[in-house]
Amino acid sequence: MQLQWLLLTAFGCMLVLAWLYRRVALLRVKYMRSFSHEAVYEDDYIEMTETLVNRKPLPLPWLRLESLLSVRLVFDKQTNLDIRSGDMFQNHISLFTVRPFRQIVRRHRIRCSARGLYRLESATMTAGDPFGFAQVARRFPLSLEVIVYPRPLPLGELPLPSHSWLGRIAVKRWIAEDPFLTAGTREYRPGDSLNSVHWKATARTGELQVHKRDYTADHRLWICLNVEITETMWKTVTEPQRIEHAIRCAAAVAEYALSRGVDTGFLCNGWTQDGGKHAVRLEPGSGIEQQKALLETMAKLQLESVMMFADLLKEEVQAGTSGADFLVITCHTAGGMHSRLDQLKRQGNGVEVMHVPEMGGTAT
Amino acid sequence: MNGKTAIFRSLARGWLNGAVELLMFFPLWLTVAALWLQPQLQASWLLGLLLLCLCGLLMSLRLRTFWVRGVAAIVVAAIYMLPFGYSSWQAILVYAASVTAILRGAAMMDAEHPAAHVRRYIGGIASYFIGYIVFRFVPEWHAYLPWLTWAGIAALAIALFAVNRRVLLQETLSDNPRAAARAMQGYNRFMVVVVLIVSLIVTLAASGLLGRWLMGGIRAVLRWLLSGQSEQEPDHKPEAPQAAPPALPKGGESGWFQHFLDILFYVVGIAVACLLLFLLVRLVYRSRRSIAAFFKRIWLRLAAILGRKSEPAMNAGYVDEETDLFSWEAVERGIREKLRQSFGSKHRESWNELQDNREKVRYLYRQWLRKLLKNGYSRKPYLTPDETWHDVQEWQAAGGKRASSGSAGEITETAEVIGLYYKSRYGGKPVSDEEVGKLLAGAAGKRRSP
Repeated sequence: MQLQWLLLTAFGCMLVLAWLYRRVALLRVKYMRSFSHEAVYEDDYIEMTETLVNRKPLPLPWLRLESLLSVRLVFDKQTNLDIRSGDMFQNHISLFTVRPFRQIVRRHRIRCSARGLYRLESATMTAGDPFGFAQVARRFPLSLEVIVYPRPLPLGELPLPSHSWLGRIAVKRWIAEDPFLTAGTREYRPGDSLNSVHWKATARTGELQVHKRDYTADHRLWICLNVEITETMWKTVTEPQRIEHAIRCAAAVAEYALSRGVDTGFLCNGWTQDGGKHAVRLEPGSGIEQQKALLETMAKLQLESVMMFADLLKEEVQAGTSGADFLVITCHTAGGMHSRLDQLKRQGNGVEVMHVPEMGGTAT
Repeated sequence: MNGKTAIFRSLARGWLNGAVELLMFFPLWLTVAALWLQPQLQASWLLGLLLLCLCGLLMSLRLRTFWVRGVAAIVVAAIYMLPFGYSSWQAILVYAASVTAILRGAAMMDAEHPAAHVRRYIGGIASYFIGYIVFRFVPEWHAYLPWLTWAGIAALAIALFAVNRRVLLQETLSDNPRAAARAMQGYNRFMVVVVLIVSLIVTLAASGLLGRWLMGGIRAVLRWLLSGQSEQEPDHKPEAPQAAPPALPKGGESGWFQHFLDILFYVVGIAVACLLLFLLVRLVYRSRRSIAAFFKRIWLRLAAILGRKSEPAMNAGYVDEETDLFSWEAVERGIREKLRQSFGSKHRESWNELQDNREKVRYLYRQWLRKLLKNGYSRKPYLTPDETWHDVQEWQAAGGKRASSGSAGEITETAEVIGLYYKSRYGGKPVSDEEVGKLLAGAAGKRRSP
């Protein structure tokens, strides 16, 4: 055997491999990615699953997948994966060696460290031959998103002057009977009107029976979140941690109120991702759907003010809102807020102010 | 890891790097030896280069300044050259080469992984290429060709591994490329070995050596199979007197019979060998999982003995599940389909093969489309069936080659086919026998009509 021919043959093999990989490396290769949950709370763990399928006889000695993800999705430490973080995004690189006719399912554990709506729109796949002569890349469109709700604070940690206030929300709903809600029949009591008599039940039992009405509240709760740190703050929130805390307070109140059947809405002078640069106004409602809507809105909330909070309250005054409870979660009450709140009170609304403490400070 | 162990490991790694570099440029060292050393001293001097490399490494532990190292190398090389003698001016050149070996050894102390020296290795391979040609041109140096060949194969293997590792290190785009590349290098090494083996086989086959080896092997196997004799036994003993050929019953008959038997035995032998090979491959394929598990057990035990971290512990951040998608059934189906497409007649859809009414409706829709295509309508795959139907009507109105008369009855019938097609194809709803029967009756009526 002549050595020079072996060397030339080896070089030829490398060139053939390069040609082959340039042509077919990414043929019959499929890639999918999914999250285990669509919505989670802050600091929850989710699983990101990558599925890579190679349906051809040619192995892929190395395959690199790159995608841009928010830095707030925190990956566990890994070896054949690298994450290069910037301030906003991290370049997530996943490396594979794929044998012929193989499917690899890779599951990553991710901690959702902060609320928000996180999207993954595409991933770039690069593969090549073992000797670096050829390299091909393809972009895989993905439409993944995961929404991270703010984690509601425990009720005991809410910065309220008295925790009994939350009880009042629940108590208020027993004020009035709802003529549209019937909960069976009961015996007639003095004072019951004649039109409440249930004649069929009376005939059946032989005693005078009336419709038993369920109770309801005509009160609605508005959770009003002010993202201004001070009255002079201009647009971007200067103490994000404080407002994040305020959002967690709002989430806690919203969950508590909704769990007790109180119609709950949300007002905020910030704006939401996907919602345009308008102040947030989510009409009061109840049930699981409303809870989901509220938490989603809070998750998408951007830390930027689009209008003065006093002006937002003024709009409510002008809209003639009455018979509602306003819980104002704010860092300050200056700049005409007091007068607006007084006006709301005069219109028959209940108003409570929850001061957001400075981080490390105590409730006021 | 304490300080002494770290130094020992650095020394071992440096010496290994030095040895690899000596091997990579072996043609140069060999040229020096062949030119200026007596033949009986050449092997000793070449092996001694490894020691010089180690000396250089040890020197580099204490001596940091380059010129001090240089002086030390000159002294050590002078001592080393004593057994080889300074009888001629040529010895000075050998001495200079020895000094170079020591200095290269010293440089290896701080050297990185061999993958970092890829460019130098490529230069080394080029030196083999040129060196081999030169050595072939000098008849006195032909004796060195086997040395060059074996060293060249080793150098090629090392260079390929190094190139592959460098590619992995680069492609990780990682801050910690070694850790990232480590997870992938197992299969990559296997691929490099495959490339090396293929290159060897192709070269051997091209030079005819492989054919001769194979034929010799087959002959040996056949002899063993047919006569129970090994190849080692000589075919004929030259010292034995030539026996007189036995008288043949009829002229030449035994010759062709013998020839026929030879061929028959060869064919049978090859068939048996192929069968055995097939059975072996099948056995290995079927028990591949247990074989893999067996080797994995051995590997884990070795890793435990050597104190290496196990794979799962390294990849703590994620979990991989690998599934084999290969099946012989799918391959068989694919081959059959390919053969049918290539050689067989085109498969015609048969009404009787259709499983249910939904398939029948879809069949009728395809028939309708085929008929239109036959009549010159060009199908637009981006249109929905409804849009296609409108397009067909426009095409017919524009005077295209008519697929049908376009009578009111036919239009209703086509609309029914499309309606049922939507129902079966996209609605996933069952189609009744009556509905299919109605369509069939319409189609039969159309065939009967002139």
